[in-house]
Amino acid sequence: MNVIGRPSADTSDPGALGPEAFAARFETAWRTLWCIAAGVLGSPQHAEDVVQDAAVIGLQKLGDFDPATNFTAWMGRIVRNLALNDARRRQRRRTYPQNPTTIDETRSAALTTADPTPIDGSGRIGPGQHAFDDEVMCGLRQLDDTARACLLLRTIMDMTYRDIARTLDIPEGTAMSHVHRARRSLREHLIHRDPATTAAGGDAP
Amino acid sequence: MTNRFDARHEEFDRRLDELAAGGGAIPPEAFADDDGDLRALAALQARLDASLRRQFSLPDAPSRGASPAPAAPPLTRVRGVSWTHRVGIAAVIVAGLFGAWSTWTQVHQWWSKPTMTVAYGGATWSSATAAYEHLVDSEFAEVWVCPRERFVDHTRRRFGTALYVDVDTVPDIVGLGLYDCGIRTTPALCFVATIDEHPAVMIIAITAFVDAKMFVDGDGLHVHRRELGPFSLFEVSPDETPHLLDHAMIVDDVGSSGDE
Repeated sequence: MNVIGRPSADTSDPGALGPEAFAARFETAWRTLWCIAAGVLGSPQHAEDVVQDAAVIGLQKLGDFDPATNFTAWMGRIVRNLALNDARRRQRRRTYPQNPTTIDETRSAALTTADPTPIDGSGRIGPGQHAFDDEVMCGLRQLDDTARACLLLRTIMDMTYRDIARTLDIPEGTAMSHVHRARRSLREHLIHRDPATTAAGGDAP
Repeated sequence: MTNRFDARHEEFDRRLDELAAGGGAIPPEAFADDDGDLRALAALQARLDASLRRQFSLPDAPSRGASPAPAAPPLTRVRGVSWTHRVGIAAVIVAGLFGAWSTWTQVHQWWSKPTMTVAYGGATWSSATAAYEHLVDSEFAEVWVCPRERFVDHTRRRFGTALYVDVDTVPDIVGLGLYDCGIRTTPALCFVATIDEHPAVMIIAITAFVDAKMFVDGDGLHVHRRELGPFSLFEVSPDETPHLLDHAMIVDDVGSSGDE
């Protein structure tokens, strides 16, 4: 009987990855896959949904996976494609702010008065920290999706450039370049928004 | 706009890599003996990294078989359930429900039964592209999965001629299921699939009832057409070339496929 959408794994092939092994590897790779999804999407929102969708597709395509190869890289490609599709779909429906100039001015004003101490004695995030976080996200969205993914894997997962390269199937030097450029781009974005962000810890400009 | 840091970024990133060969947060104090510019960049980078870790805080990883979640078909979205339960559901399905191939087949078939309202009711949309967008936006929640025999039987009962879209062995194409609908006054059946993980919808309708104005490109989507026997088939996707149309075939009464 031919069933639409059935997993393509041939369970009679001793070399094929079975559902149990898939689940085990997926559990191990989950956080990395989440970072890839969040990097491609440019935000943590919907990253979990993308990874879940990728799990379903990965299970369906189990027969296509060679167990001798990198499972995380294989799933990472599925995650990346799904996230790109999700981002394109949401882009078509995105509404735009009515006055970007006004928003920029507001953000700059907020940063100028920002409290450089992000958390007060009671553990609350200072009022200026939200504006800083917003600017970080704004700068992050100006990066391309691969650079964002590399940056998050380095910053959130503490992955080496070698492991980032293996996961995203790019050269190690490219992974390092992406991270360096992404960091520099974000720092320059923040400095441009408010030169005072670099006043702490250094000589006054 | 230039500033005094322009020439220092590359040096700073090299220092960061030296201090964190295996990754990890570098406290600004590590630059205490450096000049003011590097100290300033270190403080900014520390604040930036903290912001990224705060805004991209990792949810808990799923644990296999931990969530006593209701069994659900993996090809339909579980709605109104927290993400931990959704991932738990997927893990339960992967680890337990599909352990035996016969069990997988039985569950799959049980979830294949359409309700009468879905079989002959469904939604009515203004155009082919609107149908695509609704199905994709709803994450195929209303699509019902069916084996070949039910697909063939349903098209025979619905349109008087049996049809099947044979993508079962086509690489990179995964058939997800069917959804009965209308495109304005045109009774139709949507076949939903993913092509290299990207969604595509084939709308199946009887040519005699097709209003061509509703089946045109729009919203960044292409509508490709093929006529097969009494059917007009419309593949809707962002791709400039169709991938599903050639796999559609008329199925005669004895179950074998034939060309038009």
